[in-house]
Amino acid sequence: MKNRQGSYKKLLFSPSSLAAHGEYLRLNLEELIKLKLTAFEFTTLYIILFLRLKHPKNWLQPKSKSETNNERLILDYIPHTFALSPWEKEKLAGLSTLDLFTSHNLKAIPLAINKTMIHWITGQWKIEMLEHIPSPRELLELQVKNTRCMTVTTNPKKIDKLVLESRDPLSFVLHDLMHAEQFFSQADSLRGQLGFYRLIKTIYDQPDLKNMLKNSPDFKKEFEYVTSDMNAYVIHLFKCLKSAIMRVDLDNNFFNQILIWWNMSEAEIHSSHQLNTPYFSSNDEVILKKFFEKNQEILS
Amino acid sequence: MHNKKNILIINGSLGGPTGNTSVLIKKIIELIDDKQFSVEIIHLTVELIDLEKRLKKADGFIFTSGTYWDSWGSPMQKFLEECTQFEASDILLFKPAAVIITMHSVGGKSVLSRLQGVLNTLGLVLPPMSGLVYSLSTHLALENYSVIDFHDDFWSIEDISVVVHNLITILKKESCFLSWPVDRKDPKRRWL
Repeated sequence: MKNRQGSYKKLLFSPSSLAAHGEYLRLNLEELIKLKLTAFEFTTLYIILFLRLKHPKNWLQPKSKSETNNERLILDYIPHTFALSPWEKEKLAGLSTLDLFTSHNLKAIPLAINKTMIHWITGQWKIEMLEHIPSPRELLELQVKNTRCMTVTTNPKKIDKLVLESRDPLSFVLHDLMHAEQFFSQADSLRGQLGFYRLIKTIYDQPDLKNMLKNSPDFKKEFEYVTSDMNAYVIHLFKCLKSAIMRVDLDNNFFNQILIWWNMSEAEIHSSHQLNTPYFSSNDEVILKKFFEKNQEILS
Repeated sequence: MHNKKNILIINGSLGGPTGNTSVLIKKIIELIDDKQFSVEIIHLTVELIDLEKRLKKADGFIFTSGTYWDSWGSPMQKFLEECTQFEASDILLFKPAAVIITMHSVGGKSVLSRLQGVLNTLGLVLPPMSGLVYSLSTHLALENYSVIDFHDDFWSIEDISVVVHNLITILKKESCFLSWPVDRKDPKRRWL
């Protein structure tokens, strides 16, 4: 599925290295599942599990002094099968799960991950942990609810295999968490995006759209990417959608139909027609941005 | 379909998956990156699963441990005791084994030699130049001095490639062993 590719490093572990650690990963994954952790705690230990193997010398690097918080201490629930070494026990002593992301750096892990984890645990961003690869429709449904998802491999038989034959399980999770950061961080464009996704949801079951998706694999690929995983400024999303439609809808009928389904005013329809032409003005941009923003139902 | 030969790394260090020895294991995995071989690791600090099955599956072994009070780690000792039942059985017999030991400053060579002796007695084959000791003192010396007269006489991390090569060579039943560099100057010259 193209829209799950992204640009973050695909392989933090080579397939042979993953296989070498197979038994250790399986054993610990089973332990994590038994512990009945919260999604946040599970994800944290899942990242640590892989990261320790990737950077056994120095995966945890203190950055600043920890502040008091009410989260559980990591050493209270980390499974004994992790077989922590003395230096790890020393560094983790007294640290809560939140401290790990606020006052520490995880070796070679982008700060966007720390940011996402902090916002997740403090309830500012909604992230759903999934144990399967979601369909584009499922992703869209989540985004309409202002939620991003993250997929963890919980099948012990698959923990030492690449996900979608392209990413190792750690890279897959990090990629999803970085996407979440991209999605939630753009406060200015979030409102418009939410409106765009909601409007897409309203037309997903229209027979005309279903036919186009069925008959044109290229359109399907682009449509699903734009509508579920692109996470960009809403005008850019709309531009990409229009461009994808225009390549299969040469007489404009379907694009016009969408504008009608969305109950656009004359001015909004006019601006939509100007999109992707030299005549598209900043005024058109304002009109369309407002249109999408007023169609979101999540943010007050 | 041609089955890959399996190399099992058995880590008897107390540091487990994140100790000093594990850093060398990471290096070993990179070096074995060969389509003909698969690699598995057992950290003996962690609960053992299907030990007999995994030993049986292995075509060759790399044993690793730190040095603790002139000996290998207690997880390795426990493992060797459990291996008594497999002595001279087809689980171990004639399978090649390499050994890599870490230490701070002293004791490692004796651990290496004794462990090789035990493994050989259990029925394993020791390829030439398939054991080395890497120490903190060597690590510091090699990191902090660019030109050392005796450089070649120290086991270095690069020599792990020789150990891996020789293990793989014997697994492939080829005979093109390598040697690590040997100091050819006057070995009696003063160094202190």
